[in-house]
Amino acid sequence: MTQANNIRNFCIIAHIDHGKSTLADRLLEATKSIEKRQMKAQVLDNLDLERERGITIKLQAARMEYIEDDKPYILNLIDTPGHVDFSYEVSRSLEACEGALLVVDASQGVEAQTLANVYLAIEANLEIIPVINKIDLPAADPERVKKEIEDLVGLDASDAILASAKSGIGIEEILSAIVKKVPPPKVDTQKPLRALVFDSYFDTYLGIITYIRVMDGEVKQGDKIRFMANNKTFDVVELGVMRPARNPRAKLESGEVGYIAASIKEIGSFVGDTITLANNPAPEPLAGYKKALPMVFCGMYPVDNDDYNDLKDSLDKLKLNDASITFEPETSEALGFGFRCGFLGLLHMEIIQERLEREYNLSLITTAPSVVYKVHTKKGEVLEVDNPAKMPDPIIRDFIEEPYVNVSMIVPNEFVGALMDLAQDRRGTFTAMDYMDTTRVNLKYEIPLNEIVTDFYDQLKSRSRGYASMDYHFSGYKQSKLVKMDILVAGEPVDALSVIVHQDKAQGMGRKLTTKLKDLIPKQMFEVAIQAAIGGKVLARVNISAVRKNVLDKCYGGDITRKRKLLEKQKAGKERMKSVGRVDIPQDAFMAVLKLNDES
Amino acid sequence: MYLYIHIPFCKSRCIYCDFAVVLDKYGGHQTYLDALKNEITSRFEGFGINTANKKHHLDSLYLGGGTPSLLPSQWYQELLSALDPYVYWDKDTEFTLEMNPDHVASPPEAYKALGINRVSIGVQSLNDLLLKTLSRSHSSESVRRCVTQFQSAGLENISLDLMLGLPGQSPQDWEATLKAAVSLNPAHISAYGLKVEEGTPLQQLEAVSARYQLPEEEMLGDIYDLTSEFLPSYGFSRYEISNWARADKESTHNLNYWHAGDWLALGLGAHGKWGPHFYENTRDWNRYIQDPVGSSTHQLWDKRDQLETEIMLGLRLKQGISLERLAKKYNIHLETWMKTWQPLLEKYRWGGFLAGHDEGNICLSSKGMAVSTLILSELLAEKNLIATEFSGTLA
Repeated sequence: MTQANNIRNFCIIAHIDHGKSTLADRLLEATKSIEKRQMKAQVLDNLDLERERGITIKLQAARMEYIEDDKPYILNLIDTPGHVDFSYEVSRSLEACEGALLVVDASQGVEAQTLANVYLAIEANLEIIPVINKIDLPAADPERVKKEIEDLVGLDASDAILASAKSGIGIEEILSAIVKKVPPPKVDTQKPLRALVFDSYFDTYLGIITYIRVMDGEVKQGDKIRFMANNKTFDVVELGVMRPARNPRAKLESGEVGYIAASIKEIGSFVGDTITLANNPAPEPLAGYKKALPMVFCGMYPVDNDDYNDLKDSLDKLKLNDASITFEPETSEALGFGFRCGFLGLLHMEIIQERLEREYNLSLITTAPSVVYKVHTKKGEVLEVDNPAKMPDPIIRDFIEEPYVNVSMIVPNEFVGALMDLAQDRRGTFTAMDYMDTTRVNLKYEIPLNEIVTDFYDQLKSRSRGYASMDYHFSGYKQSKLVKMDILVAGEPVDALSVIVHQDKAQGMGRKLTTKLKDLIPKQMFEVAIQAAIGGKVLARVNISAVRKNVLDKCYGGDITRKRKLLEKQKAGKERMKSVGRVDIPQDAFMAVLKLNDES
Repeated sequence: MYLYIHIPFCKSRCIYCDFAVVLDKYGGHQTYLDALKNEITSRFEGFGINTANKKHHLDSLYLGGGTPSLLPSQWYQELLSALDPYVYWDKDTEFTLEMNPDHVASPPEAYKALGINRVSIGVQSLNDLLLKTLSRSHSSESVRRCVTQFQSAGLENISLDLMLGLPGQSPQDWEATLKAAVSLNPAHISAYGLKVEEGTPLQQLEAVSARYQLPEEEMLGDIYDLTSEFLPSYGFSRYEISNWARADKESTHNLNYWHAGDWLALGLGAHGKWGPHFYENTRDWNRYIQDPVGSSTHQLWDKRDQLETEIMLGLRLKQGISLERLAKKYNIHLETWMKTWQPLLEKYRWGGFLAGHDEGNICLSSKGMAVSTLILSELLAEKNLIATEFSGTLA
């Protein structure tokens, strides 16, 4: 029988690349939770996309068994994502834990996103164990990093564990520290069941599977459970723990972390909800989560209009384990039927787009990201506009407000100038510059979110040669002189290419955008003019000259199959383009505004 | 019936060539002849064209290569004897020999005696500098000599193969070559754009040397347009994207390809089509010699393959395609088809890409021919038309 004081629930907080996934792998290995030969590198990163990008997107959980001073312990690792876009996911995993490992790279030190996540953990009253990773690298400077942790985070780092997940150094110390420092969960098996759902996903055979942390009481196979927020009841078909594959058990009790499958076929939002027993319900649900609001919006359209329903089903399924996505139907003259989708940030948006394309095999056109503008009309109404194409006519507008964010950039001294230029160029207002130590600075600006969601992060990385990191938080709405810029292709405005831009930047933006479109749109059978215009006024124009020659001249007996293959290839290319009037526009052209500063 | 026989021997390999070619210095003429005889028996028996039926008349017999003129008339005599049990040819048969002007093994009369009544000469250019760039062994002078020689022997149905868009070629160069070509008074001219094929020496040369850079697209467009302005004024009319002929001198053999007809093909790397069967002989000499038919690959084309091929080939021709005929042949609802293609056809008509198009016919103008690949990829990408309608093979 599991004693609750033998349970430790913990998560890992780390910056991208600071070695969290590798550390998780080592912990699983050291506790023999998984055979070495079964290990793919980075077991917890389940999605292909996560392994490829080296970042954790979806949180996952794993149960380990560990013996300390001859006593057996259950250690539940609940994974957290490391990127700023996913702070909502982080708070979900924190709620289910009592402790956190703070993993910091011994040469790179504390990064902006790590800071943000540590603050969340402190707020949630978690016991934090500092781990300085990659100590065996030549550039490692653990003493400097310890000082940083003390100065910035305000934690005592004197007994921080020195580790190298890659080489297996410090793994036993970490496991031992988890047992000794992280408090056991407070349990009450007598109270009616209350379990917090911190994640869910769709399994083809079992239906929706929820990941839970049991707070009070216990839940057994065959129990009738109720989701307290949506008030639906289900029979528990299977429950158990993750090792990290599903491992069925007879019951889960207070303090434990596991999963429940209850033949839930209908798509709904369960994350953050509280599960109780239908015949012995708890009087109050758990506090749940502060819901994250999407800040970045874009249109998503199937390249092939016939795939509209597939796109809808896929979005429904994704929303299951990513409650932060929002979507509602919209139509575009150029693109047909699609959805306006909301995301926590730009990376989140890219990841969802890639998952839709890869896991659901959809071919999509995504429009450039937008933020939510508050348009004040002359009649005194306030309209929220998340799609540039829907921006009301200037005649009825009084003024527009746009969202601003406080951006914190941690940057080595030598790149401060470059990043100040960047922030200034993006209409930023300087707020503070804090010296973290002799080599790094925390540079703070207030910047319109509109400027961040284009290519700010890429620029930050390229202008600091990859050394700077950033984090941002919503600060408020402010009035701005914004205009809607239309893009005309062959004389016709293409709604999906419209952008909202600051009046002073319109001219330059128009020039850059039309030039970029010229690169992205292949030559057509006709000369095509690309224009940027505000109202009726053309700000910039470029012409794409017509194709002169595209012909397979030689085609005799032996060439026929070969020529057909060539044609098939060209045909497939065509199918990935959208015909707007007489012009075929490739998918990436709709994101041109994100690529204005790319080399080409 | 249409028959193609591939003769792979060449004195040297040209830098742009990716055909099934073997170097002549290694010999193998007799070995190859034996293999061909072997293939003749297997193919004809295989497709049920045997002596029990009556002999088939050949509409065309085409000796292509490689350099077929490298082999003497005696060699062909033996080859033709092997064909004799299955087919016959006469003055109505278009009997073509492909030639390299510098490598002609027998006098014109000897070839003529075999029944050969048409020759196709690989000229490529009449500019000696460009011929050198292309690593061609012959000169413009040897082309003139060769043409005159065959004409004097009464073999006047001569086709010249020309190449345009050569490295360093200007529209003026091309016009000079066209002028020199028509002055030789050929019956037929083929003009192809040079293509840099994967794995050829030209591909490597182009990457490293300015001398081998192909003309830019705009100039290429000018060169291309020049052909369709120049040749008609000398009495050549364009009956296919790259082919021009005097009246009644169109190539019967090649027209059959573009009409999506059947043909048998024999020899190394040859491709043939017989009903829905499409076969491709190996390009590997040793494998071909050992077992010509056993080493070939074979596909069964479904209706969609056949229809797409027929559209692709038919639009190459001056007279284009008849939707009415195709709809009937492939059992497609004509009105639905027309409706599917209507917006595209509107666009082409608007842009001057169609020569004429009424309810049932589509044919490309020379402007349309220049971008025919784009047009085809758009038309065939209308998957609703073709993908869903059928499966299975055509009877």
